[in-house]
Amino acid sequence: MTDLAYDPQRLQALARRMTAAVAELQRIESADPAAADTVHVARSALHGIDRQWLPLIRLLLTTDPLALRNDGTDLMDTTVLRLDSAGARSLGQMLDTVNLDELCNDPQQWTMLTAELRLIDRDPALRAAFRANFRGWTRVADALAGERAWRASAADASSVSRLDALFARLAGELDDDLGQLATLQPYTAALMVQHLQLDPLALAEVADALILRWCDEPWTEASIGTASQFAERSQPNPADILFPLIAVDRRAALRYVALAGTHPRTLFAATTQPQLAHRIVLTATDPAHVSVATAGRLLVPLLDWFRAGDDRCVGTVVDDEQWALFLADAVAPWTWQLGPLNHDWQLTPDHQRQLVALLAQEDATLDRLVQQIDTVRQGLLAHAAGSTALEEFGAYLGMLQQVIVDRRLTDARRAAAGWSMLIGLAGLAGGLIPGGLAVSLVVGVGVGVLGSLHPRGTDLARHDAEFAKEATLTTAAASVAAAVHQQWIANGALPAGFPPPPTPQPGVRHPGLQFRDDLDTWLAHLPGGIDGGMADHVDRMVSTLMNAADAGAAVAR
Amino acid sequence: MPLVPVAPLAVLRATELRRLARRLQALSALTLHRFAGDETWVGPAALACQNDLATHARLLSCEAERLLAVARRLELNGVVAP
Repeated sequence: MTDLAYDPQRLQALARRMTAAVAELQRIESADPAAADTVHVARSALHGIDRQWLPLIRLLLTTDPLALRNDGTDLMDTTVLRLDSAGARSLGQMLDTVNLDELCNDPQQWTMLTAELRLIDRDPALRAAFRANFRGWTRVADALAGERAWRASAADASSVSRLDALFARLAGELDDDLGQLATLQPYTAALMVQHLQLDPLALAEVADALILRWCDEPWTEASIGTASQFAERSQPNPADILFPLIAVDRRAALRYVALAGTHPRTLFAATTQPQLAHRIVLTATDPAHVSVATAGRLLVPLLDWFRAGDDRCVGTVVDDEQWALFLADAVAPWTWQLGPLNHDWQLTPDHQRQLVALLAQEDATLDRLVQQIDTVRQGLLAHAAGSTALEEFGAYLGMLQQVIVDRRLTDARRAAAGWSMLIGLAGLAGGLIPGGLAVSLVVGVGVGVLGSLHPRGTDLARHDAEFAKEATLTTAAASVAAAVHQQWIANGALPAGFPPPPTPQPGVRHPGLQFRDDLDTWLAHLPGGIDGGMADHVDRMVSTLMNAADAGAAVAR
Repeated sequence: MPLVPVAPLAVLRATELRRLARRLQALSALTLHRFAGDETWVGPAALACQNDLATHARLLSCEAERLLAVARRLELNGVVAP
């Protein structure tokens, strides 16, 4: 059995002497060849005291290993169990003068420090003793943050995890005083903030301030990251740390996007993970949780930023290759608000046209919108209401048609998909008459009419696009007529079995003209004839739709 | 036999080496082992620490003595007969 014992006060004194000895040994230098061995001996002593014995004594001063260990083994490799005020004081003093290179290169010290700070955090007396003697925590935190960034870039997950655990403890030293974050480098502050468990609004505001500071800060000696990293904007950034927290919290996302709206570069050009920025925006503007007006306040500044071409400004070295798809995803629930007669977002028609043009700018965006037809349709059904809904819808349809026409889609698959989407939307027209329902049968017929489209070049594509435009509006008109017919059958205004209105005819050269002829024939058979009230009712609604579509297309040109 | 001044470089080196030797002799590290004995702590690690500190102290003292000797030799070798 080995005897183990120690006197804490004497050990404390020994630690102080060792600390002084280390400082003295560090000053032993000479360029004289005769002193080369002397310098080597001094370095050896320095290394032994500073790396081996001081850490062990520190460990003993912060633990009570003898209370736990009675197996006769040595004092090495003990875990921290207890820390008294003297130990906390000693730790503070040590950290104030610690060699940062050595601290950053010694993962065992991180672990020990983490355990010590955990104990200090739990005890007000220890916290007071520690803080009274530790004033340079900014210096330590920034150094450790730099190390964390380097380890992260080297994919050293284990070290990153250990350092994050240490930052969780260092965050406790903020003591809820967020003003102290301003003394830290933005990346360091973000590493702290992620452990502060801030409420969503505070998280968003702190993140916005830090990321904005990161965007604007010039390189200095104190910066985390090299000058060349700053030159190419690849220095460690706080957005990568904080965006994951914001993206999963709807309130934080909403507040953050509202703040970032005045400087969208912090949202889109300050992270190496653009998909996180996308998630934040999509979370903030999720139609299930946000009002129409709020969605407009959040989205319009961001869309304007992309419209101004700022997506190509130099941010991080990572290009946002998905931005075109993101635009479609963000706007899909809100296309109704971009219609020329819609005032939900209080945009001028010109502004609406510019935003729609932005959506039409990239084929990928249009393709994505086509894929998002269900979301687009849900947005329409949720927001299209009131006595002017049919007119608004006509203008909206006409605008979208014109956008697709102007794109001169020469790719047969892409063109067919775009027009199919519009046909699908056109079928909603019937649902916009008072008490009406969307008529899927008409939509199916409309798609059948489109089956004859075979774009084979720019000129033919324009010709076919005009044809498709006619087919789309005809489908919308037929949908309105069919919905009115169903209403009248249901309320007894028409006898059961009264023939339905016509549908667009596949294979004809001008489906619109053909439909008009067929509709007039049908109207003539209604009670009261072609000049009767029922015929006039249907005719007025169809005309409203068609006239508004023409107006919408004109606005979009 | 008259003496002439020693070479300036040798004097400079000797002075610096003496200064370094004095600093070595004043190091706290030379006495640390006296405070690391049984009255402070006991155990294999404690013993190893004390021995290690004593070794460092002895080597540092030896280096101080050696530097002083080198300094003396430099001064003596710098004395030349006309």
